[in-house]
Amino acid sequence: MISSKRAQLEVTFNWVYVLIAGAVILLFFAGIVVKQKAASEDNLSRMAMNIMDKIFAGARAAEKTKDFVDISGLADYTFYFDCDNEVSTYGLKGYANPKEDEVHAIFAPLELQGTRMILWSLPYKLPYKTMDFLFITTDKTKYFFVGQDEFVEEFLNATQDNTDKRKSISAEAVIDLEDITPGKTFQIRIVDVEGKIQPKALLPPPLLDKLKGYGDNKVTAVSFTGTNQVNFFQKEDDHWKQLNSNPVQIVSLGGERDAAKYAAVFAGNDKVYECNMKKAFRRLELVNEVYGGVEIVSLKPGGKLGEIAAYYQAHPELGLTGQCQSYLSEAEENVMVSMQMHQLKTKMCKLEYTKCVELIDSADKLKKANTNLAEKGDCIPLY
Amino acid sequence: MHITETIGVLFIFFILVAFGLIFYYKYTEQAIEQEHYQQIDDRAVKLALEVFTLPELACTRGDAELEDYCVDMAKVRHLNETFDIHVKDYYFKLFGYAKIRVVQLYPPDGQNYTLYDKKMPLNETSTPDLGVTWFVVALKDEVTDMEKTPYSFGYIEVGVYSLPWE
Repeated sequence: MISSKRAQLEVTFNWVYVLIAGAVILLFFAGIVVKQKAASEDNLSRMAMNIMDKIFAGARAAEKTKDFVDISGLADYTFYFDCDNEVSTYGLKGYANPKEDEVHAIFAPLELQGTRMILWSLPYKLPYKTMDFLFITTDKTKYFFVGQDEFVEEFLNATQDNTDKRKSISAEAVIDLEDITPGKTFQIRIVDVEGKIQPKALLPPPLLDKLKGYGDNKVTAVSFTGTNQVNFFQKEDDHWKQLNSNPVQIVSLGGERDAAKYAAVFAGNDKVYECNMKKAFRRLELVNEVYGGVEIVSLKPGGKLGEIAAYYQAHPELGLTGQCQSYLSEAEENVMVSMQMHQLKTKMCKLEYTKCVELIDSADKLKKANTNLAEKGDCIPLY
Repeated sequence: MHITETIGVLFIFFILVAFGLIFYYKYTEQAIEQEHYQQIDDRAVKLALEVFTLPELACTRGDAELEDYCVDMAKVRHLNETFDIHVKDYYFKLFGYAKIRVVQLYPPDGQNYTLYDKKMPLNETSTPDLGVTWFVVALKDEVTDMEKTPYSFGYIEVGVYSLPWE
């Protein structure tokens, strides 16, 4: 009788033991699966960002051409772009391993989703090429241009491919805000070229109706006002909220394919725009040094300018009227003084961003001095 | 008898586990080595693209488009000075551990320029690997004898340093 009881206890004990061992084994494998899932998600994000990094490098090199990258495999993921303290960050939202870029200027909406990523690079010139601006968007971001001017026409001509709609940036010109029909898009960006959008102004009710499915951060606008100024807006309930406290200056010499103006169309907000522009001004200081030398601020030309000056000092008779030296260093607005001013303004801009607008004037003067040197004097131009 | 059998089974089991581990280690080592070289190739291509579009090197024509595949020698002659001064605060972020050279091929009497050379800090006995790519360019030198054509022919050598694989 005693032996039977012991046998019963042993069988029960064995079952408990088997259950515990089974549970431990199950937990072990469950742990492995969870860890593996996290690792593979991390891996996916790392791989995706490494590939993006290479694609961005290629797109920057392919100046003025648009690249269309199939990202249908990542259509459910959200890409994010940010820029703070002259460091751009981009990655997959909710995943680790974002990429950082301290050098290149990347203008993109804060968040992107879609099946095709569109990359476009334009050279930023002030007055010579300073760097390539990279614009990033997707097929699911639609741009609506409100109002009519040369810029709208130019933008649409540059971004629309009538033979193949898939090779176009989704953009449309409308007369007024009421005419906007978003369709099935992830977000919309309104580009107001007539300064119609004002801070705290109410959105027209027909538009509000059409935007019901969109979150406030998916409806943004830029409004070009005055000369070389832009304001950034975001929808807030039924009205427009201005994101920048002071008007944002567009530092450029204008003309066709004005990279700084295009950048405002693509930049997520004023902070991202200014952050990337600062990178361009930082690079401008270095490019200025290559052209004018390190000591050009003290009017001691070096670099390419120093070589040209030395050349014409040794050969004063050369050039159309033998006046190359004059255009270089003696005439009223000569290259040397213009270069000095340009570098001084660039250094001031580095210290205080609001001063950067003064670069427009100094770049324009340098451009004129260079034109005089090349065309009037028939001398070797600086650039 | 029962114990000997158990020991035998365990022995074979551990041998199989050891084989598995060795196989996995070798496979992983090979995969890491492959990724190491893949990363060097990627960096080399990225750097070549970067150098290809450098405004500090490019030949300009006023407001017109830049001349493709062209290097302005008047800038090149002074570029290493700018690169040297700003290597820490700027250009290292752009190029990393790399070497950039401009080499003139024709006419053969031209000078070659090492614009940037930042080696990896390694111990004294080992030297870093250098993965190199080249691209052919026109070398434009306007600040030269009027009798000569301003264009000569050469290439840009772009190399990326990496830790030696051991």
